[in-house]
Amino acid sequence: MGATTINLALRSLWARKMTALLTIISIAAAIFLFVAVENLRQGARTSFEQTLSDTDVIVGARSSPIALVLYSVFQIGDPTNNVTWESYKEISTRADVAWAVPISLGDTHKGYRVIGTTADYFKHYKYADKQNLAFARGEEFNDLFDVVLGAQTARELGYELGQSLTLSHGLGKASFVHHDDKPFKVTGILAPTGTPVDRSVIVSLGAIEAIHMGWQNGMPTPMSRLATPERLRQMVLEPKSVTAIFIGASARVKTLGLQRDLNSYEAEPLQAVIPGVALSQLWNVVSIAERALAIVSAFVIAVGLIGILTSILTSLNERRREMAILRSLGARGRHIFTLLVSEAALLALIGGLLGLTLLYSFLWIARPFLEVRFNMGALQSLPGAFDFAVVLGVTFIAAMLGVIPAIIALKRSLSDGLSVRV
Amino acid sequence: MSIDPVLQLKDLSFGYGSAPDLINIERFSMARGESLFLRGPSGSGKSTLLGLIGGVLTPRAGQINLCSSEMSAMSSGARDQLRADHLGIIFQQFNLLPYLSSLQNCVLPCRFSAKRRARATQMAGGVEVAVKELAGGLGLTDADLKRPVGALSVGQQQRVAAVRALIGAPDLIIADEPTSALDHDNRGRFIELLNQQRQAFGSSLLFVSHDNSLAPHFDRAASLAALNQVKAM
Repeated sequence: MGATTINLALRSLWARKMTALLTIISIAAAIFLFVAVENLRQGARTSFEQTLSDTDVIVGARSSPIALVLYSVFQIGDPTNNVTWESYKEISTRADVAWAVPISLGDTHKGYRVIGTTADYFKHYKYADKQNLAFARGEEFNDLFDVVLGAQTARELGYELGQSLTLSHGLGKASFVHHDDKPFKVTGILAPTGTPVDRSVIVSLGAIEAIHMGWQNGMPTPMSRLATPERLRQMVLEPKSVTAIFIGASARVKTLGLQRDLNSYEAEPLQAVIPGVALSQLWNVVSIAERALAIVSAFVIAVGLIGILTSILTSLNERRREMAILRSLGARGRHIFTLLVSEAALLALIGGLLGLTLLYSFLWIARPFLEVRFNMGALQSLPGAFDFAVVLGVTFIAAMLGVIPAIIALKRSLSDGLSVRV
Repeated sequence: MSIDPVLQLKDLSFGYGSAPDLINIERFSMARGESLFLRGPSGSGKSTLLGLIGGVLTPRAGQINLCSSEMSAMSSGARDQLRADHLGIIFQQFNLLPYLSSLQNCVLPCRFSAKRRARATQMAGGVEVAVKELAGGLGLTDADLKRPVGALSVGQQQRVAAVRALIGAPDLIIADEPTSALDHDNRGRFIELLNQQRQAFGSSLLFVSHDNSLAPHFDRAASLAALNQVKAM
C-alpha cells in the first residue's frame, strides 16, 4: 500500500508540475548552496592545514606560536625578533635534525613579500600531501641577483622569465626606501600551490645580505654605494641572523624532544612550534567567518523547507475533492496522511538530488579553473556520504513538516465526509 | 424485505459539532440485491447521510449496520476498511482523479481493499481484465480507458466512475446524483447500464436524486424528507 500511496503522490505532484517544479528548484538551490559551502569549508580547511607539510618544527624568536606561524608561513604580520646565524648553524647540525631551512623576511616587491632563503627551500618546503614546489618555468636561483616568483606574483604583475625588478625595504605596501641600485632578474616561476608561496618573491639569503650592505637602522648609508653588484658577487655573504627556521626531524618521534630542547635553548630565547598544531589553533580563530557562512546556508535550507510547507498548504484547498474521492474509494486516514507526508518528502528528495547533480556538474565543468586559480584540488569530484546525509536529513525534516498539512487534510476530510464540495 | 439486509439504520442521529441534529432517522433498511431510489432535494442532508453510511462521519447516537457489521462499535480505521470492502460510491460529477488514467482510476478500489481485489481476480482472472469487461458492459472501449480523464466527455467520465464503483463487486453501490450532469437521454441509458452490471454482481444500489422522473428505474422509492424527522429549515 505504501508504494501505491507514493505513486499517487508522484502523479498528483506531476499534475501540479509548475508549482512542484518551483518548490523543487528552491530546495535544489538551497542544497546546492549548503553543500557547496560545506565543501568549500572542508576544502579551505584541508588546504589551510596543508599549507605546510613535512616540516616538523618551525623555530623563531620568542613571541606567540600563532604569530610565528602567521609571519613565517602566511606572510602576515611582522616578525618581532630574529634568530642568530650561530643558533641556526648549531641547530642545523644537531643529530635529531635532518634538515633546516632558514628564511629571512623584511623586504617586499610591490607589496609582495620577499623570502630570503637557501636553495634547500625548494627541496624541503612541501605542501598538501608532501608535495614539492614545482617550477612552471625556469629554475631556482644561481646568481646572487636571481629571483624566483610565486605563481600569483608572476601572474598579477605580468612578469616573465628574464624580467628585471628591484626590491623595497620594509613590509609595507608603500615602501619609500628602495634597493633600486641592485636589480634582480627572474630565473624561475613556480607552479601554483594554493599556499602563500604563490604570493612570494624568493631570493637567496646572500641577496638579502647584499642589498642591505652598508645599511644602518633600515636606511642606506653612503657606504652602500660602494657595494656594487659586481663587488658583492665576489664576497662571501653570510647573514648575521634569520627570521625563522623550518626544520625536519631525523625521525618523527624526535619531534617533541626537539621542540622541548629548542624552547629551552640557552644561547637565546627561541620558540619552536609544531606547524600542524599551530595551524589547527589558527584555523579555530579564522573559522568564525566560515561558520557564519555555514549558518547562513543552513537558513537558506530552512527557507526552502518552509517553501515546501507553503506550497502544500496552499494546494490543500484545491485538493479537497481529491481527498474526498480517495476517501470514498476506501483510503484510510493514514493513506491521506502518507500521501501528504510523502509529497513533502518527495519534493525535498527530488530537489536535494537535483541540487547535488547541479553542484557536481558545475564543479566538473569549473574544476580546471578552480584548481589553477584557488588550489581547490581538495574539493570532492563526486558526492560523498555527507552530501547524501544532508539530502536525507532535509528529506526527513520535510516529511516532519508534511505532518502539518497532513493533519489539516485529515481533519478536513473527516468533516467534509464523502461529499465533494466544489 | 429480505432477512439479510445489506444496510440497516436504527435511531440514527447526527449533527456537526454542537449544532442541532441534521439527521434523525428512526428506521431504514435495504435488502441485498435491491435497488432503491431515495428522493432528496439539495439541503435535505443526503451528503451527510452518505458520510454516515460511508463511515467517515460518526453518528451522535443510533446504529448503522452495513453487511452485518455494526459501525458504531468500530474504530474509524475499521470503518474505513469496511467502506473499502463493501461500498462503491459514484458522485454527482468530477469523480475521477485527474492525474490518473481512467484505467488507473478504476483499479484504485482494489488497491485499498484486498477483498475486492480477490473478487475481481476470481471473477475475471485479473483486476485489469475485470475493469475492461465492466467498461465494455458500460459501453466504454479499451482506448477510452487509456485516455487521460480530461479527454473524456462527462457521460464517459460517469461511466468510468460506475466501473470504479462496481469493480470487485461491492455489496452496496451508492450513487449521489450521478446523472445530474447528463442530458435526458443519457440519464436513462446510464441508469440502465449501471443496473444491468450491478445486478450481474448481486450488488445493491442506493440511488440518491432530486429528480423524481428517474424513480421508475428502481425496485423501490423512498423520500429522505419522509425518513428524516429533522425538518429542513
